[in-house]
Amino acid sequence: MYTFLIISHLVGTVIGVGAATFAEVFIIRDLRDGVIDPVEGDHLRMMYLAMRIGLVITFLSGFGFLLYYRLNGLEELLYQPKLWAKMTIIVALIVNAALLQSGKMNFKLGAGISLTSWYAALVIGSWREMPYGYIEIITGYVLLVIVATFLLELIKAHIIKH
Amino acid sequence: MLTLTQTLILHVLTGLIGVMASYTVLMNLLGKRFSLKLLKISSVAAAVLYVISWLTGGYYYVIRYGVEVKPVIKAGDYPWAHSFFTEAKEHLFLFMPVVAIIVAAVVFLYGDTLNTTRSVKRTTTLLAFLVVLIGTFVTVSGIIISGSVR
Repeated sequence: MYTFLIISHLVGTVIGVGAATFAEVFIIRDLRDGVIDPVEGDHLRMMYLAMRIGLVITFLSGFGFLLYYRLNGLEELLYQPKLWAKMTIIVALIVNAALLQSGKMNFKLGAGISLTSWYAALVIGSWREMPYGYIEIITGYVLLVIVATFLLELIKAHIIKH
Repeated sequence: MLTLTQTLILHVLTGLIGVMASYTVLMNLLGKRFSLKLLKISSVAAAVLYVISWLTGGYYYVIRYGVEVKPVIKAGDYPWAHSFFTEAKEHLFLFMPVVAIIVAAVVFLYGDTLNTTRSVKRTTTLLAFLVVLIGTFVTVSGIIISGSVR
């Protein structure tokens, strides 16, 4: 069961990280002419669908781990700072998606949050002995969101100009 | 007949997938266009799943939690996990199936006109948001309570 959870969690994360990365690559490429035509829009919709599928698999397998810990006497693992940091980041990802959908989130910041959150979840999940506490991890995450948003804008501006 | 462990797993999974279904309802309502078919499926799924989670959670509480788990938490390092989170969770949860049923009823009765009657759409969106918000709190509370059993 544990192996199944690890594999499905990895598959979900890989799909999510890959889709988030390629969604940004496609947006940057598609915006070279200033518009997103219907074919490009279809590609982006596919990337967002893949991101949602990745999120569902990651979410369910993540809770599978929590249940596994509870049912196997490993309850102390449920109070790990890195687990709560990861959950906070997943909640940020979900809230970000809802705000983008309702048009209440700046698209540039939304892209930065989405991309950083997926990579942060991947890094936190695979870092076995993480020496940082909850506040340190979340502070690092917020700083990375700012840096990623800034870098994405720099790349877009550079590509559109050339 | 389900064992108590299977009952607990069913309680968690139905609650979790229910929150995901409510989130799907919310995301659909937040968009400019929505799929009525998806809205109907997800709103009914949320309502049904919350009822199943309610029944299995109640059964688990009566047979195991109240008798075996609660005394361990109250005697442990995190007694507030029960006195605050379990108490809040079990009372706030009661809103979820009821509000989810209301959302599903609105979707089935007024789904065709949701895009034209903005006040109904806004109120339904608000109710869907409320379910997701309570669902998130209840889910996080479940993790806190589980982690305090030592």
